[in-house]
Amino acid sequence: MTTEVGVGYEVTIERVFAAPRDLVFACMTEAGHLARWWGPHHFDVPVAESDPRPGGKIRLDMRGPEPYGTNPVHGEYEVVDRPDTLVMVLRGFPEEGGGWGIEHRTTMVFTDAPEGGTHMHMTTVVLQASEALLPALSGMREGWSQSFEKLETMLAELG
Amino acid sequence: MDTLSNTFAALADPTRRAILARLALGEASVGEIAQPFAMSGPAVTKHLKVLEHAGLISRSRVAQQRPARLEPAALKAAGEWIAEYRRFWDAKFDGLDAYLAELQKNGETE
Repeated sequence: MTTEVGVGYEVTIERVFAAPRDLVFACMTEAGHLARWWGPHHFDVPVAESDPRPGGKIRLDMRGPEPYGTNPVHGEYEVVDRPDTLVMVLRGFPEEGGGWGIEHRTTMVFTDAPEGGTHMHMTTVVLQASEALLPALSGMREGWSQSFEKLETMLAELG
Repeated sequence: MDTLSNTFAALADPTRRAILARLALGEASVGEIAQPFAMSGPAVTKHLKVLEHAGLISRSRVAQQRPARLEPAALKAAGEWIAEYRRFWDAKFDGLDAYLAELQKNGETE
């Protein structure tokens, strides 16, 4: 029973990226970079705005083929401490009637990984989440892994 | 807001998470919950109402103290949702991995 209490209000993701901290931080905060990696490869990002300072706005519209349509993400930065810490509130999956399917506060802490590269500790507190979103998330994941396969093939051909 | 939104909104408050942690040890009355938090009874009752509305706890209608107890089903639903959400981010960061590799490769060759 005690183990279940921690479950459900926080997501923690640890990840090591094979790149220096400045570059990883730039990929997370600069519109030009976000537009390139935020969506799967055959999606485009017609709107990418990012103002990385406290109170600055984030807006990313990811546009995919049917049945995906356009998936906007809107939010604000709360803490921008380059290249160590990033705190932002993000909202995604708009619903009919003006609400959002999800709202979360995400904290990312970047450190130099002992084995080289950048270690990211990401904690997300979900402030609001819609049940209707679950199938959408699964669908997105499938769409994404397919596009990564394409990307890998493409990179292999380039290499 | 649907049920799951209520659950997450209720869980977003640290005091309410602490109350849930207390209830994980067993059911408790308002007075018993209030004690370690140095909180007033009405303040605890307010939090319990939010937790009950979210389906995270139930309160006995039999005893006069109306002890509160954990309802694990709502937490489990939130946990399942979170697991899916984590996979979503993992996929997103796989994309960033590929992009970083591409960026650095181009940087070296240019």
